[in-house]
Amino acid sequence: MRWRGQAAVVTVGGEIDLVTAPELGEVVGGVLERGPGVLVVDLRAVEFLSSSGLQVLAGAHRRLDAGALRVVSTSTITSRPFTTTGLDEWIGLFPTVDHALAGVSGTGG
Amino acid sequence: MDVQADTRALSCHGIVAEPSALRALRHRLLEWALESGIPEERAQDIVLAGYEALANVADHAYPGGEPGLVDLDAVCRPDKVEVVIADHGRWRTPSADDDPVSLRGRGLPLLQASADHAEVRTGETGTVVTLGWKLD
Repeated sequence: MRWRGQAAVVTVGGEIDLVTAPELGEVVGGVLERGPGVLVVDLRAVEFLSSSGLQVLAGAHRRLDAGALRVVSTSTITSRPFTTTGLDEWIGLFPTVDHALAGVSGTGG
Repeated sequence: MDVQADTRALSCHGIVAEPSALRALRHRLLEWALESGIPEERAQDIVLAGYEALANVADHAYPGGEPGLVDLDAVCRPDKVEVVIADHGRWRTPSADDDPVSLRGRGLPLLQASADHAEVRTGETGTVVTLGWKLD
């Protein structure tokens, strides 16, 4: 996890399933307590994403302003779960962290 | 012609429906799919849909009690793959909440979107989820 101005960037790797989703929820919850203006979750190193991970991210979206949760995803493994469930209408998908931070003041984006 | 030679099967019965055992079963299913010559992207669909069915068993089939058991059977033929997941509990479709961005209820849509054919049958003795894919 790192900060770029008011934006927090969380990088996630491995498999997001029933084993790891609670851990992801704790990490994201800890970041949200620090009040980021924007939260970027970088899923590019994720090899498996189940609905348990979507539940964590939907919860994060609900605790942030509209559009403040942004996901970085370049593979169908991580993008398709968002598009097939319609969650991408609420949580933007971006190809890079810089794209996700574009227009956010103080991030160099 | 020996039809059996074209068919590969995987049978894993009596698996405890808890997170680490279901992860191991998912890995086993992926390994089997790739060994069966199924293209990687299709294998990922199979593993995701299968896992969502398994995760529902862990989440809902045995509320409040000890984790129950789940059976997985998979068959790969030259033109199609079928995966059947059976438990002895009760399938529960988690209800979406009132917020436009519901927390729950994405497992079944994800399962259905990842399979060419998906059927959930709940009876007195348990739930059987049948997933099918056509192969080119």
